[in-house]
Amino acid sequence: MKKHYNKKILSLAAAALVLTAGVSAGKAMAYFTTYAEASGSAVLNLGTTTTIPDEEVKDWVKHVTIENTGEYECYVRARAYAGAEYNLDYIIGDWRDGGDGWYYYDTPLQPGETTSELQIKIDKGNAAEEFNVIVVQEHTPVRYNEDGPYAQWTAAAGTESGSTEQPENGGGSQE
Amino acid sequence: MKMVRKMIKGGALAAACMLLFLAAVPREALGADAIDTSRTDCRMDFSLGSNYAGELNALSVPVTIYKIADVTASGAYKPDEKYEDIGLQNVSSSTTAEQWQAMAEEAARTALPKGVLSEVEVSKDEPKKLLVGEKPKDLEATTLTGGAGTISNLTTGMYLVAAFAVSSEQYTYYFAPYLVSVPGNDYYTMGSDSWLYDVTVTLKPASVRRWGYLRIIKNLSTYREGDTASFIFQVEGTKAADTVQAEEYKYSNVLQYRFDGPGTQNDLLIKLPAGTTGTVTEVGPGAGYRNTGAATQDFTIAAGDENSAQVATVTFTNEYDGGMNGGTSVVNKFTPESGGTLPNTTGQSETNTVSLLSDEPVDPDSIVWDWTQE
Repeated sequence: MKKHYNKKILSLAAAALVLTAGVSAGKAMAYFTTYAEASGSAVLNLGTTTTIPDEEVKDWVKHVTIENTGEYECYVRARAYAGAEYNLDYIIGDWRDGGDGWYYYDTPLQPGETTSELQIKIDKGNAAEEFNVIVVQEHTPVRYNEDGPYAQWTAAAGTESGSTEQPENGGGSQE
Repeated sequence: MKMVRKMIKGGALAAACMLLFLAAVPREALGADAIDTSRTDCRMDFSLGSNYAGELNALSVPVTIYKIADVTASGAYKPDEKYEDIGLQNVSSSTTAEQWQAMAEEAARTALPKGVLSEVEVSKDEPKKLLVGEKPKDLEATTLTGGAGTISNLTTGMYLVAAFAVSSEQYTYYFAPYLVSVPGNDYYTMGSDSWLYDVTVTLKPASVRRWGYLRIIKNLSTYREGDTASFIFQVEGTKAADTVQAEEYKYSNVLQYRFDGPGTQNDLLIKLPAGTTGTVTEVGPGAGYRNTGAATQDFTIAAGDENSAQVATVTFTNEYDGGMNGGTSVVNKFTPESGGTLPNTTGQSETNTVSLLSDEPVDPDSIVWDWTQE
């Protein structure tokens, strides 16, 4: 059996989100996320960008790292999607299985920093047709409370810190 | 995942040449009487092979015959002027089945209206077959009903038989053109040297899947500017095994739309066998977005081209959820370089334009895979 891969890395779309200078944004977020419904677009001030810089596939294992290419720190999480006939096994290393399909990197990612590797082993079974495996990363601003930095993956824009919303997955220690 | 599939082999088409090798058998060896060339009451009785009972028996199969040659009392063929070049006068005991088939195809090219014959890929591993397509509306034909029919009051000679393609909801059945001699005999099968002026012809079709399409439509009503939004769909489809295709067919894949502004995209088009049923689930509603409708939608594939009203569609609508999360995605595409079947999806990439060509079984371990990401 012969298997080889021809790798073509195409440009990746960059994601952006709003942060004020490393602290909980509160009302500042509300200002920055005003959007015009009529036009269907939202106006945001952009501050943080993360990318998946260089995914590789070796022996049916995806090697995923995420780099913060923006200006503010953030938390990241990642996962992959495939058809039900394919099996994905994660070798998490420094990542954490959130139990919700996502894998969390619990250390805030500073600008320029890259996560450690998350490996995704692809079991293609008896596949004979073309198929996709889609790797997704998401990022969220680093928030702070008395316990230190944390991530709030379900926070909406305009939500004040110290609200009744509890920290979600991805909590980290205060530096 | 078991992705092997099979269909009726093209070998059935070779067997569809029901040739009675009149001239191949020396008359002396037969010890037969001379052919009564004055008879005008010969008959062809048609039937379908037992393997194709069921669906095909419920369809009406049009059949037309063309007399292409007279036969002498001694068994020699005298082709009509139009068919002099097909080589019928040169047949002998060494004429192969393939040569007979070639003569039948040549006769069909002469006899049938232009465009009726089609090159059809029955098997990935064999050359395309020249098969008879659908009957032109103005062409008279005898109709086989329940898989049976009769053409009577024939004179002796060589006939071209053209059974025209018919379609059910999920399959198209094709027949090869072939030559039938009247009279025939059962010398090779039964050892009898008597002439048979009532000839039984068993039709053996090749079945080809009919295909339809599934289109995924995505509406994004509100959009967070400056952030490319990715929406991921998981498509699971199954076409049950049946008497024609013994293996279940499965489609299982994830696909994506990317938006850099509000609007609608609709070019995710998946070609699937007619009769496939399944679901499309938006598994990745996009960082910072929410689905405003059903996250999972059902579909059933009907035969038809990609621009027809039969295209199954599912529509998903999302809006900005006011959240602060962003994200990106990477589609890793694994494509068989060799040994596999070809991709199902059209749209979104200039390379995604080819559909499944064959249901021939493939050895998954023999496949060489190409990986790209975008």
